[in-house]
Amino acid sequence: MTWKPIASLVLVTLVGLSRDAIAQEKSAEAEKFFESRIRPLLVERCHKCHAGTMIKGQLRLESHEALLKGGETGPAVVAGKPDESLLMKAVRHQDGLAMPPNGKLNEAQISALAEWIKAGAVWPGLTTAVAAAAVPPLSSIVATPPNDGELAKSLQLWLRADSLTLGDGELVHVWPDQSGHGRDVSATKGVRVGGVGLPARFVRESTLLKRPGVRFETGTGLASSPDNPVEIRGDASLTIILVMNLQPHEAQPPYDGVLGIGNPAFPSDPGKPLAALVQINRGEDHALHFAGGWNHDASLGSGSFKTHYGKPILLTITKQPGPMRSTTRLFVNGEAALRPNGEPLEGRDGVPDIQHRPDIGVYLGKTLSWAGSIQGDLGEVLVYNQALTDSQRLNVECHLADKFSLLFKPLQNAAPRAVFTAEEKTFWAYQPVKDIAPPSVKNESWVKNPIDRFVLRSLEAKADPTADNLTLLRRVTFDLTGLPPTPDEVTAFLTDDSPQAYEKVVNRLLDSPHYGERWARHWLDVVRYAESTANDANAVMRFAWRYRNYVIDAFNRDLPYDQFLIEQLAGDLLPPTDSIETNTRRIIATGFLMVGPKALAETDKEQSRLDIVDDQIDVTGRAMLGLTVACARCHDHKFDAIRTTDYYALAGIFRSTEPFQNEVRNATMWWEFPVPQGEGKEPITVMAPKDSAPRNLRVHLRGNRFTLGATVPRGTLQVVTQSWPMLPASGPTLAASATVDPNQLGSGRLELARWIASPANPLTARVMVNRIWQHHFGRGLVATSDNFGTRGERPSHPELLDWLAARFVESGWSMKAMHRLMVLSAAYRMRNEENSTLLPRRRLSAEELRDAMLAVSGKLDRAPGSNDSGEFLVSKAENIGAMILPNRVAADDPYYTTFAKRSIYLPVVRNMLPDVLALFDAADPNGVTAQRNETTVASQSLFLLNSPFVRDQSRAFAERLLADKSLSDPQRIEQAHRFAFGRTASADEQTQATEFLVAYLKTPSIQSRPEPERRLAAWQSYCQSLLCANEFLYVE
Amino acid sequence: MTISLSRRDWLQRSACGFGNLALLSLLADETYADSGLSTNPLSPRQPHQPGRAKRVVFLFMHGGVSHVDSFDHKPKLSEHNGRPLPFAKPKFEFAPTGNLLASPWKFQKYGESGIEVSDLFPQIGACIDDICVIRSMNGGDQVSHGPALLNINTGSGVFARPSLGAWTLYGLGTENQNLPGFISLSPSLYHGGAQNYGSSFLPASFQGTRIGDGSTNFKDAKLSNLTPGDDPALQRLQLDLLARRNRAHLERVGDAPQLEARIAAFEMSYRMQAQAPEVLDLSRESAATQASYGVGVEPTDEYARQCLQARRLLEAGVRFVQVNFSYPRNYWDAHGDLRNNHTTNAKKVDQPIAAFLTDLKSRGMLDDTLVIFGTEFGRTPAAQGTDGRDHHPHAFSVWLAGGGIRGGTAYGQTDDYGYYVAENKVTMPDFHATILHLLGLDHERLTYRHAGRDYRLTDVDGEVISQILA
Repeated sequence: MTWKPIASLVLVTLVGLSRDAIAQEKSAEAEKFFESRIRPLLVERCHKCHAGTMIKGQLRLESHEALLKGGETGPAVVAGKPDESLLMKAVRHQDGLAMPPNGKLNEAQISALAEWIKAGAVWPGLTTAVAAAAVPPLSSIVATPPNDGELAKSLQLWLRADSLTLGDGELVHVWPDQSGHGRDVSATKGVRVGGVGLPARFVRESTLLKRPGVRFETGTGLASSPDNPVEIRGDASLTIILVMNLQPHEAQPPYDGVLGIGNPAFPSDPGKPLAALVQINRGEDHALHFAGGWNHDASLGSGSFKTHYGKPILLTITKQPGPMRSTTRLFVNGEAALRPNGEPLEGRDGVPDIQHRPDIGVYLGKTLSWAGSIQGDLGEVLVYNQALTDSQRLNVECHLADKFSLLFKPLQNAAPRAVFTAEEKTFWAYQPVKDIAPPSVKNESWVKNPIDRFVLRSLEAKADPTADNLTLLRRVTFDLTGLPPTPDEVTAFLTDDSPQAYEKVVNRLLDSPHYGERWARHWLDVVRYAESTANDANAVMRFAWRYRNYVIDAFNRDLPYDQFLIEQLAGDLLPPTDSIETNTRRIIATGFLMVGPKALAETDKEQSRLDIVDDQIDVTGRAMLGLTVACARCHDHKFDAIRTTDYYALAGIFRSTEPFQNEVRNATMWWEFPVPQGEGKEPITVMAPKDSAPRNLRVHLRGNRFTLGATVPRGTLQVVTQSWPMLPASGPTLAASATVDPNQLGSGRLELARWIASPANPLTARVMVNRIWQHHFGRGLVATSDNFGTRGERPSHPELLDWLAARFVESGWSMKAMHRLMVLSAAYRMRNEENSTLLPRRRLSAEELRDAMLAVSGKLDRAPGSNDSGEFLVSKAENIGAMILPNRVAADDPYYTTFAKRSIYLPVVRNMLPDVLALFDAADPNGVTAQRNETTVASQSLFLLNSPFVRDQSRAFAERLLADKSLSDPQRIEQAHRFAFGRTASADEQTQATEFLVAYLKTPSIQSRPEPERRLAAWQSYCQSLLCANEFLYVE
Repeated sequence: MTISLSRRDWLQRSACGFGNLALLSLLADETYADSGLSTNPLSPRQPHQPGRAKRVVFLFMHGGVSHVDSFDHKPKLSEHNGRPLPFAKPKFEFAPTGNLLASPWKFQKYGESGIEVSDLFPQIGACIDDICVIRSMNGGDQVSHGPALLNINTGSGVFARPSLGAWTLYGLGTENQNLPGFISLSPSLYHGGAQNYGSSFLPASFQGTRIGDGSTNFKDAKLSNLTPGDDPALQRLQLDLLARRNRAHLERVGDAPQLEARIAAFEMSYRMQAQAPEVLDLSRESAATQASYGVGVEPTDEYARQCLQARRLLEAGVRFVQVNFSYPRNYWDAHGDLRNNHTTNAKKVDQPIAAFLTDLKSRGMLDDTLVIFGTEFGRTPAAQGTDGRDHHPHAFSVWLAGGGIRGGTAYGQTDDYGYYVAENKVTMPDFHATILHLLGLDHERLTYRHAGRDYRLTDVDGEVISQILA
């Protein structure tokens, strides 16, 4: 049995199903059965040898098509007939077959397979693949250069805009032929007999998706020499392929002469046209003709070209010998073009006798007085003296489509549109946010704001009493600013009897510049911020700090969160404002896309780019949407409703943005460029990407860029978008090209940003309020704050989560409003009870610990940092004679000991974080860190006891205490407690301290030191014991 | 040493088979109530199945040791010296190379097994009956040092992943809580730097602790923050004061395991301060032992110190020690003047390594210590310039000895010129899977949940090379 009849059987079955609602339900069931029982089985037990690149027995078990095609021993499956299927024989160990080799499947698995085959071997995603069954199977299309192998023999002319080495806008007097025949075309005016054609113009970023193009305007005409005509004469075979984007125009004569071969004049024999012309006839409402001369056309009919104006298209015409109409075929973007009424070409049946003109060879545009002008850009012009076979044609078209990122229909049609099961579609995280009224509660007196109603009703927490004022002050001060309250702040709060005392503190903290320094760090954790590339070179990213400061500033200014996201993803694409500062800030924001790790030593540069795209998808997905989109790089997401097509739809967007400038030696330098700041001001240098030529990517089978599948148009996540459409971008950047499908002309980054930052997006607001909650209450309402997928935790309090998300959007996405709401609740002010899941005790983060020590020692420099970190790393980097500067700073560099600004301004070198940060679980900037670990290991204690940093701070702390000569030692002990813990010392603590100081000074080994030094050493040791105390290291 | 992951988080993350194992270990730890270390991630754990090796030492040769000049004898290379390679060169090359280049060294048969080793390594050759040479290593397309180093040390040349030592620690914990469980001696600051012994997304407690770095002579290397800031009597006073304060605090706030753990950690670090210098003090070894390694004489002094240090650490209960022969001070990267480069380097390591193997054996430690001799790639059989060889990940040699390894064997083959693997290709995941297997860990079950999926050292590949197991 061969596979063709089976395919048509399945085709019929499925077409039938799609017209029948009941059957459709059945098909959903069949899909579910496949996804739950069959696909996992195939993946786990068969794909190791029968999928991807390591194929045994020529058998692939990774698509329906492949299954029916089978392997060396024939089709694997006969749909509907399990007993006739080789696959069943193999798993049942019949007829000498025995698979899989590492152990027979169990009975349940075998019968599941049988059941599946019996039901027709349904493979989801097949519906569209079958609809496109008229084209050859996807796997048989292999992108092939136009002059590859045998093709070179029939290639008569090959003009490529990207072969020109002209500057942007320069005139194209000659467009050299790349076919090897030397049929360069040139402007005809003054060159050819009767020539009127003016030179064309080279455009570096043309309307062909920003690829180089040759621009034709009214009067432009290029032609080759008549002395070296193409080898197409008489009743010949030929193929013409054009990559172009034409605009409508009004110049006379009323037709667009795109390309001509031969003589379009009246022939002496009316049945013998003398030319092969591609033209668009305005008289017939812009009909696309393949003309043999006067009235000898194979035409697509009235109005047929109208929809193609203003779009980059791939137009192919093939002709076999014989009558014009019946031997010509036209293809647009790889797909057969039919007349609007669906019928084949109209026209006459003259048999051509192509004859060359004595004045010009092949010609484009207005070469002679009677010729028709064209307006628009040409990217490639190919002429073969042979009608390419479908397979050859598709391969060459595929090559050109890949090169220009055109939507190549055969591949696009092959991309399975995602079909989601009901379970997937109804998953909680994809449902719209529900704004639920806070419940009423009995214990009204405890409630301070609506959060408490949800908490009281649904959290297991009892209505615990409020924490004492000092604990509360320490908690809220660390939480909002990452610093301990100063003794003055403590006194002010403890002596303020007004009912608004706490609220005043909260407002003061939110207004403090230290708020941004604390909360920016949380965001930098999730966006994997660092100042070096990691991997081999670990090169210094000198200007990354501008992005860091942008984030701090955004928090301090309470930049609306939706705007914050849009600026980071696409600030460079936003319509410019009158403010240079704002425009510059938005460019700096896109540092978000740049600060990730980069494998500069990767020899395969495209691979390196795709890995950066992967990093960008991962961070965008997890930081902004709480979804692990990057899991779908090699296969459909194993757990979530995210398909490889989703991944490559996003990958296309990010691949259309360029982080690198050019290649230098073995490394690659990213974009750093000056942004002008107005007259009389120095431009500032930023690290930001640039929008590049847009491209649609093909699915990379198993993540391998050399095994390509269907083309996926750039877009967003289908499972989310199914419920509401992708928002169109507005503003001048796209309005200027309003005639062009916006999804095709730009990278799509701005559209993606607006889609994410839309109030209608069910994930964005939830994810961020959950993060804010997590950092105030210790644990997110969704505990896995970067994974809202099926493998993440479900929300512990879905109603509260949605209520907060709704308030967030309502407040204009104000993060400060969210903080206020949360920290003013009674829930936040509770006493921290043992083993509480709400408000668990937390250790200071690495940065808080370091900053608190500096604050207590009096050494903290509270001024914001700027370029210190980047310049320091550059000063220490190695000069290897390239643009990149490999990092040479070690984790224990003395700089880290003496640097007195807040820790967020410390240099962040990947894989070489300063000891103080790495030891206390700072975020690993190689990836997204949603929640830090909190380890307790001996190396931390060693650091606290012996590191120069802690010893220096202890000494400074001691000096601070000893500086005031008027104090008694008990007063100093008192003072030390105020600095370190914000409280007075107990009688016991006074006694212990005094005893310690006495014992220390009596120890024999100290006696050799001179007096002031001895005393200082004792106090230093005492102060260090305070800095190492649990009371100092933990927040209640 | 607690970790703030809740026990449930911890178990979920180490799902897929490892969960039960971890659970057992964590429950067992409950009995260590007095230490307050109820969820110590570094406490020793039982492997998936009994392992043949209890500890690992990885002798890492930075720069790329030429396989055709060391452990993979190719007579045809001499025969066809100066002629072009008769088949196509690989798709990915670091730089263009010329014609075939004969090895400047002769090869001898060693031991009862008669395995050939070149004159670069006569002393290692003498140990050959304890060694299994793998001649069919394949490092994929990683032709640059950085990605290749990361590939052999972490399983990925492209993405940040936990290192082999970190995975080992995650799987097995460590025996001596007074010393780090994974120590890297003189790791290079280059070519991936700390990523080569990092923990990446595994908790930071599993990362390697470095002693020294590749830019400093090992003689001057120190473990950071180990030197007490005050003399012991004074520090004891301070620690007592601290402990009293912390205990009073603990009474005020009630039962809190992480606070107890922190109290214990200070005591542990105090003990570490005492024990580590002892372990790090090579002068405690006899003069004879030091001399056998080559301590105190050039050119062996530095690597001898490292090997001897490794033995002392392993003996003290450290789980994984990496002994780096590191760039920029030591480097096998012979793009030119192969003869000088490899002679100089081999002289630095041949005696120390042989002495190390002999020492382990005489102490009965070789039976359950896995010794790995590896490099990031081999070198091209074709010449670079007139007398050099380029990077060559397509086929190269490493060797293993000790716990669970069938000594006196050679596994895999390259073609006549040593260009490609001809038989029994060993990929990096295979190599790693085999190492984990020897430790009793199933590479498919040693997983960690991160970013929505379970990660493995071997990602989605890897097969244990059962033919080299004893």
